[in-house]
Amino acid sequence: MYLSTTAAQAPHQLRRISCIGFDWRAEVSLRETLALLNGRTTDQWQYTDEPVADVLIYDSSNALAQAVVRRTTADQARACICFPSNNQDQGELALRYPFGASRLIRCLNHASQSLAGHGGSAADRESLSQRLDNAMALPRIEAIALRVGRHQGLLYPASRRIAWPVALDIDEIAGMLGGDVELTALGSADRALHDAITAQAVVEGPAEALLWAIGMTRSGGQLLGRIQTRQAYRLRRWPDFGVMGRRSADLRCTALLMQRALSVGELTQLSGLPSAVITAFLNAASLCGLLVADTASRAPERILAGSNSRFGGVLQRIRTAFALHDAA
Amino acid sequence: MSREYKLLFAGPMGAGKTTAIAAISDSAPISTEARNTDIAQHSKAQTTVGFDYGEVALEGGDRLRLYGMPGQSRFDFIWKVASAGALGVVMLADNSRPDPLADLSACIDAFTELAAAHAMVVGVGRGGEGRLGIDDYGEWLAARGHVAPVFSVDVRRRDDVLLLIDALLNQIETRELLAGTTESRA
Ligand SMILES: Nc1nc2c(ncn2[C@@H]2O[C@H](COP(=O)(O)OP(=O)(O)O)[C@@H](O)[C@H]2O)c(=O)[nH]1
Ligand SMILES: [Mg+2]
Repeated sequence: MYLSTTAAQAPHQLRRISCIGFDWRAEVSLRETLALLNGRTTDQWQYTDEPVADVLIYDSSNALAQAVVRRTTADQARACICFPSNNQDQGELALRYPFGASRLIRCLNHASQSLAGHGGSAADRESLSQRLDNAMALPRIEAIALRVGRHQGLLYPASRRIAWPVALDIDEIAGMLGGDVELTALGSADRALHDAITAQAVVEGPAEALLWAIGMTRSGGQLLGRIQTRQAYRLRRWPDFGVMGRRSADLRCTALLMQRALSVGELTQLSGLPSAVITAFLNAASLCGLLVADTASRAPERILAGSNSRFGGVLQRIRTAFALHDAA
Repeated sequence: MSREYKLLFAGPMGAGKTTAIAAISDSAPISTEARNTDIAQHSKAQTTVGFDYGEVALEGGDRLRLYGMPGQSRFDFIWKVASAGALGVVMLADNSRPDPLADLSACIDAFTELAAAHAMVVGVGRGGEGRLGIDDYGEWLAARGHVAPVFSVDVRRRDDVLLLIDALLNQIETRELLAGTTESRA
């Protein structure tokens, strides 16, 4: 049995479709045909002009359209239906004009299938950080299988260690974060799959650098669902920035949360950092298991103006001497 | 009048004090015996100990002095003197030594005040060569009531030394920032 990390796909999920680089007649025809399909496709389809569509239909003879498709599919899972320029291109996701209803239905159902393998619809699709957090919170889970391209490994949520086919250095992590990361939660019934992956994933080590990087780069600007904006948090310990690299913003947030439990708003205000930076930081810390809710009841922080520094401006001048501003 | 500030580097022989100081000093570190500093004045052992020294010029004519000394308990008194008025201390551990925590324990008592003031940071070198992990250092410090950043570093890389300094500065800055806030717990 797999514990799937994405909620079971409801039948007739609402999906959105858009097209780029189309002749306007083809676009009108597509909209009209879509309207006639009601109830005859796996999912329910709605035409949109927004770039968040789950499916893009493009004309493969249009170089600009191709470039847009390549760029936008890189940061979001979506299916692309191509409008081929010649007779050879007759794949499952190829469409001809004028659209025949049955051909369009086959195409859309094929797109639904490929999207189901990637999780929810693009509009309400969860970030990798959130999906990973969901998976790690599942009860009775032993490991999470991670697949990126041809590499597959196991993340152990309890120990936050990872087994991977090659050493997880900064370059390998960067490569992982550039791709689509597929997650499958494994329970005790998934021994066979577990063992099959273990046979390949021979390098075991701490997952902190990977989890941190996922929180930093794959949070989609959204705080993890578990992080409450009113709650005050502190950090359990300093992350090993010797491994993850130095970013002044991380050091500042960590230094604050190691000294005082703060709410998201207080941390934002005290650090003076943009809230997007705070969001990524808190998600990263949470994925690493370092963010702890402070249980003591408390009154909100009040920041007093003009507090005196014992060291005056010297800390700033030391930063200047070492050029320590750049890494923020 | 120009002012002087101190930053300390502690750790056993070979942990990388000279290397770290050299990485960030304006000029190569010198081994001082007769410098007119508080350490030299109080150090009876100056002729036998020898310590690493480096300087960094700050804007406005002030200077940051960098001191490195072995962390053996018989030099505890020197560290106590040196830490008075110091901005902070960088503790360097060498994970390949037989008992790296014993090395730390030899001088940590001299730095209780700096540690309490969030002015201590620990850099662990040769992390892959010993039995201890970074967490072991953190837990060891916590058991002694200290909270300090512990980073895996190779101080032969200037950026790793800057990480230690940056973390130290951030701790001091945020400590001062938080001192300017009211924290009223119900
Ligand atoms: N592998 C490794 N070697 C280091 C590190 N730090 C220093 N070394 C080397 O260890 C030797 C002793 O370093 P040194 O700075 O003289 O140590 P000190 O006795 O604490 O001043 C030198 O050859 C350094 O290049 C480190 O973090 N990793
Ligand atoms: Mg030396």
